[in-house]
Amino acid sequence: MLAQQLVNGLFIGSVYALFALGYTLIFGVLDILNLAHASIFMLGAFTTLVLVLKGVPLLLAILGGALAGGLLGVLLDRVAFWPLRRRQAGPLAPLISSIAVGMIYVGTANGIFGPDVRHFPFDVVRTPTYTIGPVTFTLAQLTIFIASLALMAGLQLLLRRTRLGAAIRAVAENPRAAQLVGIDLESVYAQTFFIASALGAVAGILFALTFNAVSSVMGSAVELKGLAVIVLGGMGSIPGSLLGGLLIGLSEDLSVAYLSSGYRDAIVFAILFLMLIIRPTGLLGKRGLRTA
Amino acid sequence: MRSSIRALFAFFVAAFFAFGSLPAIAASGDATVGAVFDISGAAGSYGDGQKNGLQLGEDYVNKNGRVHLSFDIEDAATQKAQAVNLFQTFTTGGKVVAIVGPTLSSEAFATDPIAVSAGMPVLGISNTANGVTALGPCVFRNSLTEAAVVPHALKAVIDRYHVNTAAIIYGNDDAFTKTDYDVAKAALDADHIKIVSTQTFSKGDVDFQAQLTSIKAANPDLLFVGALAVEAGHIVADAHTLGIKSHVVGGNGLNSPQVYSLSGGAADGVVVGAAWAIGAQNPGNIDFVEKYRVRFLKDPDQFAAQAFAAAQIMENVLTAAKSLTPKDVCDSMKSMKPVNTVLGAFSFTSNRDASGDGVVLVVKNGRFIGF
Repeated sequence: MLAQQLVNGLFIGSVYALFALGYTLIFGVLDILNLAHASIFMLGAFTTLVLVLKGVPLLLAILGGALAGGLLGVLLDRVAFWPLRRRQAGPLAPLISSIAVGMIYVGTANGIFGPDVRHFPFDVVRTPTYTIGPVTFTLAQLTIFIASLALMAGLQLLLRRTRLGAAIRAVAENPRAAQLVGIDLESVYAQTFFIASALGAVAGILFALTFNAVSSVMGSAVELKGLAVIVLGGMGSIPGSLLGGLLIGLSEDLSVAYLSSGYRDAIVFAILFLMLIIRPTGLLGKRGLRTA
Repeated sequence: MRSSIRALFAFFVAAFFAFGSLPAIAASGDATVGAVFDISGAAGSYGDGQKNGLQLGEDYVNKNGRVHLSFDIEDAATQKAQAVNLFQTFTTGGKVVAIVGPTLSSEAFATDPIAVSAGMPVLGISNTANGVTALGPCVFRNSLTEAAVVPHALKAVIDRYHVNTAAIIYGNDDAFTKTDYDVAKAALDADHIKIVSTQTFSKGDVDFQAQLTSIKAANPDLLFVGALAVEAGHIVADAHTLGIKSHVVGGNGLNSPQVYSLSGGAADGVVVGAAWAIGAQNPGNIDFVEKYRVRFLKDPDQFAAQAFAAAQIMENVLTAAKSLTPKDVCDSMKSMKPVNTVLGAFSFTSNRDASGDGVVLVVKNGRFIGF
């Protein structure tokens, strides 16, 4: 049973990690928490579902969902953050306005798709089940795990090896100095939002495919977990998100298996609480993105 | 500044006396009934069916012409505070003669006392937890309780198959699913079935793998699911993926097309104790299912059927009431004779609960049929 629980934890943990990357990227660059991220997670899944139902092949539909998520992220930045950034509002105002945009996104999805839980056609998501020793998993779960790791590695490469990555890191380190050396701040912000939101949307799509459920409230399942992941892993750290996501996924599953399912979330947040006391900067520190 | 505040205050006082005391009913035979459903939020898919069922019921009643009835349907958004707010609005507004709802039993425990203290009758259509109608002398429900349907379903499965051990998975943050657990545990204990694993989850969860992995390790003959339809659909799908072979049994919460639409073929064999069967052959039900499909392009679930039945019950209650005031409507509910509804011949027990044993259904090829 332990082996199966570890596998369950790793699968769900990798989705948490991918979702939390969006939080951490935006926090690393702009020092703000984007609480509309969970709504983009949901809209990415809905976009993919609509495309699949229209007959678009799954892979293309996933790309479409990621693109829509990215664009909604850019829109979010223009509506919720840009006007406040221009007026140099404190950190609280953007937090609240991101909640507002998140609610508008959820309300819009509810208006269009209704409150019912939707699902992908079963011939699209039904994948073979493998049993290796005591462990059972589906091809979809394995794909999702590998895709999550690959996307995180890709993001790390992008930040480390490309011009855009260098610009993002420079802005994260010191926006004013970055501007002085000729970096267009607004363009970097927009691209950061695009990447972070596209990743959030992909996390939503993978989550929806794993559990074959899409609904306007699906973001609430990961919203707080995502925050827990970045606090545990270290705000602004990409490897930290991965580590935090996997640890939270594992601790959820193991607490159900060996303690009590009733205390699952309490245990996750107790770990978080302990982490805040022992190591407030999280497992991998605060400056991860900047030194990535 | 002060004088303008005073003027504003005077305006509100005047407005209150001018409009606050309008008669409750515009004309004899016209009645408004409030309805509080969770049309959005975590329980949104249940409230949506209820809204549809009640709207269809309103048309049905008004077409019959015995009474002119309109439902004022409001969304509690799966938030207890909002449900409480809406009940306060309805009980103080003087506009409605009764309230239908709320969707969840856990909400009913917060809202119904408000109606009770205002003397407003309440008709719950999906509150199946123990103790809801005990909240007051005008709290009724047309939903068969879990205590009525779950033991029947369990007994049917235990009698047919070889069952020595059982596991239970239930939502521990909701009065309805918690009642499921209490009722199922009592029934299993009474039958000397050993409970080998008990697992819990929260409303809105989609990942049940951890709990089900523990259940699989305990290898029970029977798995009782105390859940609402969406969570149940996921549990059934996950149990299938993990290779759990136990007989799956559930209560009213599982009597929804979502159980098989969310789990594909995995739901085949799931046994459900419920208050209503989509395939029931009484003429009223056949007509209801057909009209529902035409108007909403999907199958009705039990939530929709019970909402439709609420309209049929209110039609009879309002027709028989001495006057269209909350007090007389409550008295009329207390003395109501059996009414033909989509749920079959319906009457209240002396405790204002729905009478009857319900039906035991099994999913076969993605449909509910008699077990």
